[in-house]
Amino acid sequence: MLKVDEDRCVGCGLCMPSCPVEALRAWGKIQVDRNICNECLECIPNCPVDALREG
Amino acid sequence: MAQQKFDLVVIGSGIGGMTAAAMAAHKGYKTLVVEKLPFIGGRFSTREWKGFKLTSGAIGVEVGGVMEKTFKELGLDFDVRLEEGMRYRIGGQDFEMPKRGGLKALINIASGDEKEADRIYGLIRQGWKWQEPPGTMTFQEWLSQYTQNPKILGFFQGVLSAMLGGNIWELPAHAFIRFQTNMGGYRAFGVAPKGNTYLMNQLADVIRKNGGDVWTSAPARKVVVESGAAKGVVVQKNGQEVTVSSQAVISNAGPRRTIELIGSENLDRAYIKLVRDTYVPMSVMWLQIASDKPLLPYHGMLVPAEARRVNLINCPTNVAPELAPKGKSLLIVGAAPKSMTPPHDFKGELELALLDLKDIISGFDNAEILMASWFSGDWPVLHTLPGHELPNKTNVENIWQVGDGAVPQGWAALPGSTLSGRIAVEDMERRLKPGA
Repeated sequence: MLKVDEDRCVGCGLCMPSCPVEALRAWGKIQVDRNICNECLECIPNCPVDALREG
Repeated sequence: MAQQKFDLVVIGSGIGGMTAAAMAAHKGYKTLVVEKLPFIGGRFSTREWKGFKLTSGAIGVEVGGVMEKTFKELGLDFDVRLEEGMRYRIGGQDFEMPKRGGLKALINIASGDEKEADRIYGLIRQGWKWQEPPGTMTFQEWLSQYTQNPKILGFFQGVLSAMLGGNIWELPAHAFIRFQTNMGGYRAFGVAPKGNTYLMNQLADVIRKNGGDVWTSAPARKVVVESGAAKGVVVQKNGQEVTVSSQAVISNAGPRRTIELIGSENLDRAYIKLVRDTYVPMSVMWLQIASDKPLLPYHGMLVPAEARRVNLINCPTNVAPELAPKGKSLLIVGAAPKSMTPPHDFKGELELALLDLKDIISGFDNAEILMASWFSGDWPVLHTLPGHELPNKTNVENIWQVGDGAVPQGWAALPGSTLSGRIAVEDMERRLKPGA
């Protein structure tokens, strides 16, 4: 399951466009809409501060 | 472990790294850029989302400055559409800064007292022409000696926040003076209608055409140091570690990451202390807003000089409608938080920024906020607090730092990062020959 490390996430939103189903949104920290997220994990390498993980 | 050989390895593909890499490749150095993310550009990139071409950082591109000069020298297409000059909202009215005597005129408008405006402008001019104020006090502390007028302090807060990304109660007194004397301020701004990535891809082409390469999804793991000099970079690529040997390394990874990559065991403690004491990555809140009609009537930026938090508003689709789906408009808003370092009170800061926007923009209530993001920490708006610039070298030879963590004194943002790339390559040329 996609996990957001809230301590590392700065909320830049750079991961948003990498999500094919538009489940991510920067709102302070990154918000994951769990109803939409299909766990493809394509966002993980798009985080500049390594805040996205599978866990 | 696989082996590769280049003259130069550049870590990170922000504007500083790509400028350095393209200039070096153009001069005959076989150059490799390694980028950890799946795309190039860093905070000068473009990402598509819901039909919008969103900037990954830079709000505007300087026209007539060092980046345009670099593109011309390399024979590239500097496709940037010029915006109108900045406007300043003072006392509810918008003013364009006149070409000559602009700052003095705006201080006069803010103050409403010509004598006081003359006196305050005289102080700034003295900083430019005679002696800059010391960096040991903040701009606000310095200016407060000469005026307590909240309208003047508010005006300078707006200007410094927009230009340098920080608050007058945090920026050192000399930062604004040096920004004018050393960098010459910003000339003019524009927007890349095909996106920032179009510009970055051309720099990548220069590197490839000259025998080099650009690897994405390829994080640097460490800089190889032998006998006190950089000898290459270990890179993670396709699940394995590749050692790339090189004569030189240029790091666009930011000062903190560069220390990790070089290894503190290879570094002089004075440098590590300098970074620990003076390295202050700055935060900004960033809103990207969609609407059916343009929310700003201007073809240029607005600095709301007396706002609570918002320091810069731009409607890039007014000059480049290509950046939004047909019939849509995009607004980009910067807002300086109360403190430029985390932790931040997101809800409180957002509330104040939204109050500002409701005051400034009629029809704002119908807009859709696509994202309310931060640049902060290891992905900051600027790596260097203006006035506290770090050197671009350490004791380890043949590795230079570029980017907004290694700008020359008084320089900032895109022009500063671009120049830092050029300076590193000019210095490298004096020491190392291609193919040696």
